[in-house]
Amino acid sequence: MPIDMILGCLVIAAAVITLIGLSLWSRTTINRTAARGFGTAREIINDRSEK
Amino acid sequence: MSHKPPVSSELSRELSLFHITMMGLGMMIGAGVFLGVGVSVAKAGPGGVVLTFALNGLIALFTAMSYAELSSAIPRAGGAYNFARVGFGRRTSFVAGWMEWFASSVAGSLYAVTFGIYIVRYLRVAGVLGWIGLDDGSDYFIEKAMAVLVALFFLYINYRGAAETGKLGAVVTLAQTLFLVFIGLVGVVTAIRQPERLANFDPFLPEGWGALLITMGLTYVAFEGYEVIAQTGDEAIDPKRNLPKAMIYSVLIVTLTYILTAFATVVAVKAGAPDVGDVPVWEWIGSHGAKGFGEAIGRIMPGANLLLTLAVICAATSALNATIYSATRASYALGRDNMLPPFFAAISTRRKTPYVALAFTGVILLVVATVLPTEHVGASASIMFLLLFFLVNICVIVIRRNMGDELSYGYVMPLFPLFPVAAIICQGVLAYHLHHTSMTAWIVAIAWISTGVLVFIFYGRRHAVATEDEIIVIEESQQTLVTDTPETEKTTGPARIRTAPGKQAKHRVMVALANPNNALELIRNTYKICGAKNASVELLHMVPVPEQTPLSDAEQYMLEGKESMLEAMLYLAPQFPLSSTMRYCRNVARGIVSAIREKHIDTLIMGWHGRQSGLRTFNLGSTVDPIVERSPSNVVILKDCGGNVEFRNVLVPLAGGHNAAYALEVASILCEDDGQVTAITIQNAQNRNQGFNIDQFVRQHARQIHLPEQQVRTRTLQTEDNVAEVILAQAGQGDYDLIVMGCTREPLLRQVTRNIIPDAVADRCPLPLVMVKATGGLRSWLHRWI
Repeated sequence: MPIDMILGCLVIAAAVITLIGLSLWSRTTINRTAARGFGTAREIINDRSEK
Repeated sequence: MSHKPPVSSELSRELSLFHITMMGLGMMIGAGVFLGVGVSVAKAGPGGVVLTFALNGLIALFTAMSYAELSSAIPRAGGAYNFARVGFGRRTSFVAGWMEWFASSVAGSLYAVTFGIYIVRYLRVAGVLGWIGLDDGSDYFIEKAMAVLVALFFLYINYRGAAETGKLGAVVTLAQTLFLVFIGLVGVVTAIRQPERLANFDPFLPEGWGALLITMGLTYVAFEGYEVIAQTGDEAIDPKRNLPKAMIYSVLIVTLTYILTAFATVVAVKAGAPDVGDVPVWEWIGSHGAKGFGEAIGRIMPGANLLLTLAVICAATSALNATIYSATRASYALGRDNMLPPFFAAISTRRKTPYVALAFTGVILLVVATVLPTEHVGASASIMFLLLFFLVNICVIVIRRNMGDELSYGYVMPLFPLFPVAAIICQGVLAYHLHHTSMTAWIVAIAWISTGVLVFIFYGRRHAVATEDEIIVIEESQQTLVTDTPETEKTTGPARIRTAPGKQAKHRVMVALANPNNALELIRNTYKICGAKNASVELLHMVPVPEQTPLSDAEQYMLEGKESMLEAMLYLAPQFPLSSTMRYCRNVARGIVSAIREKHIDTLIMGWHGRQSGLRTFNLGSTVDPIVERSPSNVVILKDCGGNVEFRNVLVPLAGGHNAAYALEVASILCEDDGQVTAITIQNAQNRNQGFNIDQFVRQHARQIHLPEQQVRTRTLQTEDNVAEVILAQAGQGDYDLIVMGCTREPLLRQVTRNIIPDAVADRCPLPLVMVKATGGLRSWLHRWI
């Protein structure tokens, strides 16, 4: 299999995994923030680090 | 005194998460993907087309995260325009709104023309045009006429109102998305049943990796739907939660759909088929250019030509609908803030839609659709979207840094600022490479932006009004240092001061003024600290405006601030480089911390009146506590330090750490030249084993002490009593006239900051009190930058 194809498939896979991972993480954190009550950036980051 | 009733005009909130997600998808799945797949295969090869959509999706997600964070904090119609206004001010925000308006309008005209082309093509193939006697030569005019008709139809739909806009667009978008997903799944099934078709991907990147830069730039217009979602801030239900979700969802759905579609296009053609021959499949698809997608998909789906025509028509119309909506809201926001004449913000009483903004958007859209060559104008829309997103990614960094403590967020991205920085770099590169495709597009973009700058200079700058989300700087003046006295000591102004010789002012001191009395109390001590630090002075007065009060009525709160500014300037201006700022804010503590970050302040000086909040979570007060906790600068808090009292005998309770050293330094600055500083440490059962040696501590920090060694004495007290009670007892016995102590987390004052200082020391102590917090270490660095 040509090296370009291997690299290309790896890049596509990495992009898709990153895309899905970041999207799911964002969804979770939006729900969590809404449930806890919206706040400043620092409050949300602190809340996240306490999790 | 007459009161004008407040006049408010607002849009109705009717759009759910589903509606706004579909609006974003609708703007993305326009004609771009149908035309872009074939072109991308031609320019980047079979693997390149899949890579193009995967990588573009990733860049789009990074920008969508920026949009999501900003929209959750500033959920108002205007999108990038609003973000730029909060982040950079009026000039940049006008340019952002101006670009946004044009980019969306022109994208709309592109979709209208695409609709015209495909409907005429279908009518020609079906023989309808021939049946009514229209020959091929009339196609161009019929296409333009169809473009105008469809544009007028969707302008009317947008006039009808948000619900109609969202619902109709949602149905059309859902249908076309499902259709594309179905095509993708057919492609996957085909590849599973006939795995030899995967050989179509060899060579994977025949034109090399560099070709991706061109195809990514060309197809990026198919990922710009989060802008229209941001525009729904005034009309979406629960916008702080739904806007960020819709942005993330739409990018995820559209990217996966595009990847599937691109994959299906490549595997749809069988190598060696009679009409393909020996030509590599990717070259055969590419040879059909923009029609390559349709030609390929037609081979794995019976009747695909008719379905594809319908899908393209649906895609073009839903994208047209969304771009009209987006462009209208951009110009509405400019009118709302008087950047453009206020009639742009007029809202229909019956429909509650911004009909004037819609009309002007329609004019731009129709003129461009009928007059200009679409390929170049489409490319300039792409460039402007890229520049716009470039700006938004900078905005998210600036706003988080300067106003992260002021705004209320619904979503905060992780690993900040990694993703916006990555997006900025990628979008800059893509925009640059678009000049290979269309230099005209760059010229059109520059011409439109230049026109916008002129409109701002001759209209917007004079008429713009403040928005609710800005922390507004309403007055700022600067006075430079007038003296260049070389002596290390001199007597000018209200107090005798020590000055650091022969240095430019690098230290920046901010004095937070509350009222004229407070100003006089602060000035004397500010004078000493600035003199010792050779500092420049920033006078700051925050004007808290209740949530219920429009900022336009806030000037009534300014009077006290102006008086205190004048008092302070009278004394400080002749001696120090000085500037003054007055700001509106909703929360004083957040406003002060934001100002400290923006102006890179080293030391904050503020007064404290000693009133308790009544809540256990607040020690010094609801304003002082958050400032001490979050300020990235040194903080000096003065209580009862006014009048002409000279401090000759200063008590400094110490327990080690940054704040203790800073307390010692501040005490030595505030103490008179012939005065005495007494540093004490109190050891009881809890802290005796920690081995703090006060003599050693004072020796270690001798360079920070602004008094001769013999004027600083130390004492260690052994006791079993409460530490604060001992401090109070010492204050009463020792003829002291000032206590200076640090707000540390060290054992001694950890007790103090929880319960004892406010009640026992501050309130019960008859002496003036100074509390200090020093900056330093990782925590302060994080506070400064995050």
